[in-house]
Amino acid sequence: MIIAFELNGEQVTVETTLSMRLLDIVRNDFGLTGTKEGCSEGECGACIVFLDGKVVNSCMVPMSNVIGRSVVTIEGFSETERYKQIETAFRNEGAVQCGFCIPGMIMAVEGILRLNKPLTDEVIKEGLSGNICRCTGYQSIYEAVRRLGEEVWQDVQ
Amino acid sequence: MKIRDRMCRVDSVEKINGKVRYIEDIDFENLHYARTLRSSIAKGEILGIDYPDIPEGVWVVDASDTPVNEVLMIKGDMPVFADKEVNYIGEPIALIVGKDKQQVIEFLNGTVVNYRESDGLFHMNECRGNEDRTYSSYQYQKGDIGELDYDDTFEKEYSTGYQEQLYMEKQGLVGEYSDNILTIYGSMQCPYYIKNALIHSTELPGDNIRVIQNTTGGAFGGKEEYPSLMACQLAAAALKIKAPVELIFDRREDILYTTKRHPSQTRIKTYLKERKIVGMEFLYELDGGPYWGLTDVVLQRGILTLTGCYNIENVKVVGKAYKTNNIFTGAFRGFGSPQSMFALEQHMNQLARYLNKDPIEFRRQYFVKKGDLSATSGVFNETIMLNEMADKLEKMSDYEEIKNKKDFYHGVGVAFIPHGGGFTGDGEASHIKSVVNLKKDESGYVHILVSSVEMGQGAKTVLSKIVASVLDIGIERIVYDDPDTFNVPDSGPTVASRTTMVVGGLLYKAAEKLKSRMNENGEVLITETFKQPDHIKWDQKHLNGNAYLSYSWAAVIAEVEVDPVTFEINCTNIYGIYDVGLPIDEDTFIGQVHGGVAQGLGYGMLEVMDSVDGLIQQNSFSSYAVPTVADMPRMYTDWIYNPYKEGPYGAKAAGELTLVGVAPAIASAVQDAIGIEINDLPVTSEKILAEVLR
Amino acid sequence: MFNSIRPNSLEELLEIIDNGDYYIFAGGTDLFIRKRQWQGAERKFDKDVVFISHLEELRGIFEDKGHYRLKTCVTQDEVANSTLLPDYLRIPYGLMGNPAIRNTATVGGNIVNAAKVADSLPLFYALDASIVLRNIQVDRILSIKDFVFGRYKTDRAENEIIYEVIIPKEDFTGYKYKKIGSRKSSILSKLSVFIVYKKVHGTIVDIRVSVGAVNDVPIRSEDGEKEFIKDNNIDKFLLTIREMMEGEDDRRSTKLYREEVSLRIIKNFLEEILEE
Repeated sequence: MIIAFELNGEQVTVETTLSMRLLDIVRNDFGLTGTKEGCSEGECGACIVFLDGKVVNSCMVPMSNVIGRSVVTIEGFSETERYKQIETAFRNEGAVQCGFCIPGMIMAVEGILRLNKPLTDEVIKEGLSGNICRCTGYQSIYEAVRRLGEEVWQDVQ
Repeated sequence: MKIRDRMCRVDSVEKINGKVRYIEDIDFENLHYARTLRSSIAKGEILGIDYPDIPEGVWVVDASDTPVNEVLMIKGDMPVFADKEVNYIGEPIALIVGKDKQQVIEFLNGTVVNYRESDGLFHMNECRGNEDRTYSSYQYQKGDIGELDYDDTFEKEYSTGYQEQLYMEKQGLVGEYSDNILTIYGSMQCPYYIKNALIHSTELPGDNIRVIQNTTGGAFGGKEEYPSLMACQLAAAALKIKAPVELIFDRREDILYTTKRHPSQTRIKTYLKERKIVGMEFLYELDGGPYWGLTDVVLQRGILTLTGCYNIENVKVVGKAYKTNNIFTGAFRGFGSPQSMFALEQHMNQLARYLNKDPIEFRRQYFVKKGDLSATSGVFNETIMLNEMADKLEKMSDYEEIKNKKDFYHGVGVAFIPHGGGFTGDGEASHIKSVVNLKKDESGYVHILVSSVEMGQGAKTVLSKIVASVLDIGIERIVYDDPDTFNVPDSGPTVASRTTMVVGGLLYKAAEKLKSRMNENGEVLITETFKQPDHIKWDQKHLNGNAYLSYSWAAVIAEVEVDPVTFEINCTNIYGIYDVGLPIDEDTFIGQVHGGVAQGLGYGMLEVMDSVDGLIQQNSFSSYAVPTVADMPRMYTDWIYNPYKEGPYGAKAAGELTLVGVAPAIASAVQDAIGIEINDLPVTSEKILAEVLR
Repeated sequence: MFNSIRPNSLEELLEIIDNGDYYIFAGGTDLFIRKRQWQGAERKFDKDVVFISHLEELRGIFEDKGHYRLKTCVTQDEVANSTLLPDYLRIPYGLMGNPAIRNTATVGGNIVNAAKVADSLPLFYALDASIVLRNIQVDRILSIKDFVFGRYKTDRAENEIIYEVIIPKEDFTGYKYKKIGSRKSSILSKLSVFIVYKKVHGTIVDIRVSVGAVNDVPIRSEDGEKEFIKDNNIDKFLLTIREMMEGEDDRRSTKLYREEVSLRIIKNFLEEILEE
């Protein structure tokens, strides 16, 4: 069947089934390969996208749940000003090694920033707890988010 | 640029914005997908295979499609495809290949393999004394343990379990055969290992084989030898089908059936005279799984530094690796050392407690120094600064303060670790014989042409920085593409913490030669080949002499709190002082430390992996618990400068060292917190409770 | 192959399931994993699938005078961030899974799976929640205890869906919650303990204690609670709970750990509650 939804700001359609995973659709049908499959069961966060503005693991979202909704992948998000801030913070902290978890991690970070809460230790750790990174030990990622929080907080004020 | 300049990693932007392509992200025209038919039993004879009718567009690729049915690693005992017998659960029997994944899956689900099952061996103790079940057996001595004058002994046994690399990117390769060239692309550490395995299994001339690494999403040893097996299978498929074939594992397949860290057992007997160590005797055993793989070398790394950071006069070491029908064990960051150093360091902590001494003060009496003989009776040629490291560690951690904290269930643990850089013994000279090329092109760009891969550890950043610093040019003028065996010489595998020290050392020399020729018009190519320093002497037969080119050192303190109600372990702080000569790029080095701590912490207290009759029980991210951000302690990291004269700017090995000390430090901290003995990894709340109730 | 159906209304859904056996797919955080086979290929559903999480009639958190009502497709995140619900529901929901999972996993899904490790079940056990089941003709209301009767076993008929969960409002003085996994977050539970209680003038007048992930279904002893309100005897209460325990060794933990540590946590919590 034809399924219509919004992808990175554009109305798109795709010929597929209700039960196909959003992850497979963005990767295989739209060539948006920044979204990765790590664990295939919602535990690693490498496949995080925004669905109507909220972080979801695209490996667990059937296309039925995407109809008429808005999906933003790392490719769409990386066009924003906010992304540039996050990219700079990650680069400066040396928060990237093999890189496989990073696009999903960036989406999770934006998910935290969208909470509009002060970025306490607890908020950062809870916000990143669904993203597994096997390389960095997380401290540089944590620091990047903490500094970003200070910046974003200043912007708000 | 200068070597001390701070820089951002050269590969970070494309990894952050998601544009970089891993093998699964790359389009190949007419791509076919392969799925593995695997053994469901641990040991038995294959009586026959009932395939459904083979539909158009589906291929079965098996042993009959591979000219030499052996995967060349150290030995060729592992078949590319099992044909007569199977030796572990999950052993590959065939690839089912097709363009339509649905069709491939249905075909596979309709396939039945008939076996005559026999009894497998699943525990090392069942293999003891059985020569057919012993891969390797080593023994070496220093001094004379038989003639010791002693008045007390202290003897303990230690054991460790499996650990899964859990690289975020699953194993994945694509094989293609066109224009008489067989090409393997994908996620790997060792392009030339794969090339050599392909020459062996396909019998094609080396000139017709090409291996190209793609961006690799983590490896940690897991993509050292295992991809050779997959590549040989894909070669058979690509040659048969004449189309590109992709073999990318499902995550559960990857966790269940690819290599794991070797489970180990270590017995240590220490001889004491007037409360001083006069001798130590070790028995170190590994579960090598069903085939040789790299087990023999893992065993050697495990035993060659068994006396760790300590000068022990009389030593006897026996090391054995056994053939079981458990999962195939192999390379994993640390390579035998996390197992043996857990045993040794835990033993030292227990000895200190037995003798009622502070664990650091106790160790200081035995620290090795320049000129001492190692366990293998080689002379330590380099300056060793363990005392300075201990001083720095005590200061950084506020040791006197934290160790005397009287909080209930608060504990402090210590570990001191050596790690030999590069291959064992004379391996770099006798087996690897690294070659590097450095090329200045007509536009003035400098190309690093090596077979070392970037897999997240920072090879591109570090090697580029070395070359840019020697030439004193901007980093943007360095070109370091992912290796392609058609373009790069064999500078060895990306393993053994050798890339910065050995390959970087060769590039350093090449860059020095290039420097005076940078103004020449046209292309300039410099080739540099590894030569073993004259002072390195090694007798492989008797395991005698300099076991490594150089040693790096780590001093680690772990601080933990154990919940008095639930026995949950909270590792709050890890302090580490490292001697890696000189960190080429400080941020990259700190990244290695943090990642090593995370994996060491997982090994020490989270990553339970059990095997029942040859089947791994934890098969997913939800049952195999690696650390999340919430599990990580605050990490404090510092280093001393102790340049190694053969290393680039004095740099030595770094990657593996950072993992090894963490688990013993945590285990001894838990021991300190609760007052029970921890002799088995990982330390879990379940084990603590069982000990407490005993 | 299987068929996938996406009804346009609750009524249509009920008609569909009245005429056949379907997997009912809400958030999919469990079903999608169990039916995996290969990335890029279809799931291996062995019967037809009907998708429900888009149905507005199955969404929303409501309250009336005496109850909170959670419709079946409310996400865990919506519970955790609800302004309507009390902390003793919100906070434990905020600890389930991880942020991305909470945005898709549903209230009804966690109940109807009836997994041993389902974190919402001990909450609903302690809170005396009821489940409203609906088919094309009629609603049935069952207590949670009557609805879930074993690991992966519920009283749902093929032609029924969970329509909503009804939770009686109580003016509890406080709650205690602890769950343990093999790491600190984003992991399935080895065990969990949930307690709500009410104290008047320093005296306990109501207390509910439930233990999750030890037995196939949550443990709760209403008789034991009544006794405890009378005598405040912790050891006696623990003995009652201990006798109900049927823990197992598995790849996540041991029988010993699950049982002993659950009891230690309960003991600790009860001591705190008595002292407050």
